[in-house]
Amino acid sequence: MTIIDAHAHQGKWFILTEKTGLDDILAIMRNYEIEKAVLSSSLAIINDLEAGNRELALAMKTRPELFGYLMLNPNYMELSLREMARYLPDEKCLGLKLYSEGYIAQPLDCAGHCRFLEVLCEKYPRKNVVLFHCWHQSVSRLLGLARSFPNVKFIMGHMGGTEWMEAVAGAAKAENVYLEISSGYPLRAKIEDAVRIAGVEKILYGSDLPLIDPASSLGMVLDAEISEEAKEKILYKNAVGLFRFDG
Amino acid sequence: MDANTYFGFWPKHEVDVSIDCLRRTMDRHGVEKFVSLSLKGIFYDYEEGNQETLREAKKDERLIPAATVDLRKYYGEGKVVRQCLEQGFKLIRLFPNLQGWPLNYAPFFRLLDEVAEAKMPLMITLIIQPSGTHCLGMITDIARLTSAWRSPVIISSFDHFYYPEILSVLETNSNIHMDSSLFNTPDSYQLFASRGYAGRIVFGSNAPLYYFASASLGLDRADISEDQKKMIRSENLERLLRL
Repeated sequence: MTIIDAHAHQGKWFILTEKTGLDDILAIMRNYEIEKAVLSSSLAIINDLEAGNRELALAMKTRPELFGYLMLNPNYMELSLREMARYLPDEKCLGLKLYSEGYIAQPLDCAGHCRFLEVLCEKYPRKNVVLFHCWHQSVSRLLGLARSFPNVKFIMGHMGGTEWMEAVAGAAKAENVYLEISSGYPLRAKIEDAVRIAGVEKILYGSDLPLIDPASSLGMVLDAEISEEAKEKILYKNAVGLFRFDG
Repeated sequence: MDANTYFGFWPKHEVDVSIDCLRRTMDRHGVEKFVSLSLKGIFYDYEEGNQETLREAKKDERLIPAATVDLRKYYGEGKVVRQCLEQGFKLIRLFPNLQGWPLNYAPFFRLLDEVAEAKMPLMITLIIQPSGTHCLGMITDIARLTSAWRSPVIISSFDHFYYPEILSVLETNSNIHMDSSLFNTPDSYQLFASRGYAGRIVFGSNAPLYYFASASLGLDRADISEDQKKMIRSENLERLLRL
């Protein structure tokens, strides 16, 4: 089954893994038949916004299977707004990656993030896909943002993590919220519940590569007691529609 | 072989983890033997749970029975582990994080004395229900407390945050082993095998609480030799549990 990975990264993390180079990522993608991956820069998330976004933009240029999310940091508003103007016009930059809590010490629905979303809607309406890292109490905050910005398509990273049941219920009620399934803790029933409650069209495959092996979330889909058609939508078709890969 | 399965009732979200579901999962994935225990022993009463595990093992020879002891209740009677061994259990499993007891804990020290005396393999599980927090230092403590042992200690269900710690103790403590159920970075198997530790890994899935394929796919596609995969899939566990 061909796969589009809606949640991957370029760069290193503060954990012990040696496969973080671009060639490593491409080899892992081939190993799991991942046709396309949408990446954000770990350097931009954890540390240096500008350097990380620049590295990712360079990496995408020569690799047709790689696409990007632009990372923004609400602690650096002017720089972030300049980054939007610099990278969002690039056809391979598909939207925004926004973080909250730990790395940037700001809540998910902070004023800075709201400003980014306003600018996105005003100036870049075709780049209106935003992947939020979403864990713990962030789920309810994301659902609030989704109500305030109905024209933005929100991807709830990690399906809300430990709060996945709330995430699934919330996505069922919010037309513009998608569930991205990457997890290092593949608890059974998550996929079946998400399909049953939120609807299969709301679910996207993501790996969190190279932090997590694609096997973890791929195994969740392959083992889930859902139809083959539903698996194909999660692994591929839903992402084609959301990211407009079909033109 | 699967070193890490459960059966019974899971109270933290709605999911079928019945013995029938476990058997179906093992059948579907071609698992010949699986170490298992009743969740009743973890959550409710370890003696009742252990009896349930034994009953299911008698009905199905593929099920290798693991006993558990709840250290919120045990205070060191001095016979529990020996009884488990005599009843046919092959392994003692402990769940400090799920049950909320620390490793610096007198009942734990007394239980370790019992396990050492009986020379039973011991498996200590770090994560089942993800909480987002990690208890770094637990593996170090376990290694220190069991450093004089010859019988194996298997650290189970730990993720990439613990890799530096487990690598440190693998080098110094030859009795420490690991299960692969939360090996989650793309190069986990390669990381350990390339440092000579393929013989210290047993395959585990956490099924049917976790999706089995999430664990099996990672091993199937790991960049290690077929001989190493064979060791991890069955040979290491057979040796450790003397099957």
